[in-house]
Amino acid sequence: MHKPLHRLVAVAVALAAFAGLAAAFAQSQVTVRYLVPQWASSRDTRIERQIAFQSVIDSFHLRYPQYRLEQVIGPGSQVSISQALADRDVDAVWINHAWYAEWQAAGLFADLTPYLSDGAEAEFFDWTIAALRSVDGRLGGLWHNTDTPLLFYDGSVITEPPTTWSELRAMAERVFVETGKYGISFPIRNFTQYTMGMFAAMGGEVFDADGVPVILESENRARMERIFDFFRDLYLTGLAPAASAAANHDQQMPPVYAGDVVALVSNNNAMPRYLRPNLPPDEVANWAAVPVPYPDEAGHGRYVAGGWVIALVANPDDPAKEAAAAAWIEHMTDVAALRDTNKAGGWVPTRPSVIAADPFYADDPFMVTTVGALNAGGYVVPFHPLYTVVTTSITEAIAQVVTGQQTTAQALDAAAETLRREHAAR
Amino acid sequence: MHPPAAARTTGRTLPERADRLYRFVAGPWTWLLPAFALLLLFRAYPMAHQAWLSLTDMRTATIGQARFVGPDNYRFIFTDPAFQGSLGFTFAFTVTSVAASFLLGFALALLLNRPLRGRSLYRTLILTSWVISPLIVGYMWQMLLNESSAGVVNGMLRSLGVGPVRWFSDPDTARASVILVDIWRSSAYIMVFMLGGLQTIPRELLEAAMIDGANAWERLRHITLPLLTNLITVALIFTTIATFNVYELIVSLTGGGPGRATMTIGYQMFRTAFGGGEVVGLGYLGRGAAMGMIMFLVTFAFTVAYLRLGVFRRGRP
Repeated sequence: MHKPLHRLVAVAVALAAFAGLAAAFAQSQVTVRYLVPQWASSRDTRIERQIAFQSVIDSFHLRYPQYRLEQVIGPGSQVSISQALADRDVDAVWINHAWYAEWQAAGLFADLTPYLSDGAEAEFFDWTIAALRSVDGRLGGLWHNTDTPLLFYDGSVITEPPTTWSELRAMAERVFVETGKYGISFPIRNFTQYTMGMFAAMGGEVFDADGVPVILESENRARMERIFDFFRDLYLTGLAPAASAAANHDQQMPPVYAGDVVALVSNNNAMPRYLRPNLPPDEVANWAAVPVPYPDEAGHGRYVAGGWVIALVANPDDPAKEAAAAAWIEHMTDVAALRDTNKAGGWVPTRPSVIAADPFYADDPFMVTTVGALNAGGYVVPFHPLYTVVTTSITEAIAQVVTGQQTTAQALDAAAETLRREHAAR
Repeated sequence: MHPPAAARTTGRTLPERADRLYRFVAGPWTWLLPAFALLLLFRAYPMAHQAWLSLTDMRTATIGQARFVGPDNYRFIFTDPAFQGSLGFTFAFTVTSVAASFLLGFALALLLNRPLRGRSLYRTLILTSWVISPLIVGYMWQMLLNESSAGVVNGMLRSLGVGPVRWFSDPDTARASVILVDIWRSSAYIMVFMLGGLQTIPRELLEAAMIDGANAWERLRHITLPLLTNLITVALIFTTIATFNVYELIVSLTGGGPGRATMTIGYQMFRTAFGGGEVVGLGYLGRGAAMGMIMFLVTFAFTVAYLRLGVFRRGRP
């Protein structure tokens, strides 16, 4: 008669004990709150990203049972991250590399160095570490993925891809004369992504040692004039399609799909992103890529590297939490995590060893070209609060020049005036 | 009989005062309080906060560390040639687009108010351009006006022996393109507004005028327009505000380019405050807020001007 009651009580006690144990275990765990945009998380709509990021979280929990990772999904905008940092609401954040400098300078990030395993730093592209340490010597995060522009070309028309600007111009002219097509397209709205590396290769300086913008002063100005004149010539002689003078990456593609353009400069992932989904397979097979041609006088190229960084939020009041967040960042950028998450995202891992060891990367000619360019001349733009103003001014100036609205001198004078005003306003 | 001493001082009896209090509590002000509270919370407070923000140097990277800089942001904006260019284009864009949208929309409304075969279908088709999100409208026209050999409109023009037209890569044509696309979109809105108004005009009035010998122009001028003036004012106010603040259309159509040729204040404000497109965060929240205040004042001035023109008063039957 009382048997069912006994069983019920026993089950209730067991459940309570389990719940108590679980609660005690949860309390003993340190929770890492990780602010990340949806597209770089296990909550992304794409199944491959869900699997890749969740597997990294699961392996983190297995490796560190005392830690628990909580993804805080945000819009990924600078404003939302800035608010979270101001409120000290998160322990690790996924940020665009361009935003890192100011937050690091404001002391919002902790130094990862004491938490990292021996030799971990040396595993990354050296320029990633150098750039992150360039603000104040401390390493506020680790670079998760990167990208760089390449020159994509249709091998059925272009048999010998150019390496210098003079070769590029000659090639564009030959293609135009022989086929009536455009031999080159640059998305002018992304102008600085291609040219700032070349400016650096020419010995150009964007800011002086005191942080004053000098990009349009004396010799630097002459270098920029040289760059502008090269593009002005390409566009005003009709060797590049006028449409790309007002285009970004996406907008420069329709003439390529239409067969009007046989070579273009685009991000290293243009093959999976644009060409393969939109061209017939037999045409796609003709396309190849090389590093972006460089100015002859530079003698070599520098290639702007972008990407995303996972930063460690400073938490002096809770060292245990800071240590847990540091463990997450190292785990999220270890060989396996970088390999899997970058595959899922279509990005370039920041550890060369990952690329060399995995056929997915090592056998992909576009990835090989990308890594070759980054190894030979990876260039991170200056981490300076005024850098965005510089790129905006230069991009607007080149658009005026290639559309024939202003001369190089007029456009650069206007850009220089903007920089002076902005610098004075700070 | 004399009133009690207390009532003598105020001149009212106690029941009168109680009644007055009751009428105040149960009166309209009490019922309006929740609405006022919501207005304060969602309109007045954000506006006041923005006004304060526009007097600081707040940036996205350093939220919470703003310094009071007085009118510096306004001084910077008004001496900035880029802002002056955007302001000029935005005014030209607004005036041209609103005027043309109104004329086209009103003409369409008059046309579709007449007995016409397939009238409902035409109304629906025209309205589609307003229903679609401006962002999508921009992307759609980007494809239609594409300058490559695959561009739809240039393809049609080519078959007529015209072009190709540099819709977006030539600054002057780009300005005209964004205005044309906005007219295409806004005229549908005006048409719906006007069509609704036209259907409220008593048929007897128009028939009486016809019997009296009034021609179509006279009926329009002396009957239709006076009876629609209130509606026209409202439609113009709404369209002007929407056009002056345009953002999504520019983002998807030209990104403000080539160069700054089609940069409107709305887009410049957003880009200054938050970045956008290829600009990875200028992050000048204070300066962006100042631009927002200027936009508010201009649209406010537009609204007052429309109302001061007396359209409402003269429109009263």
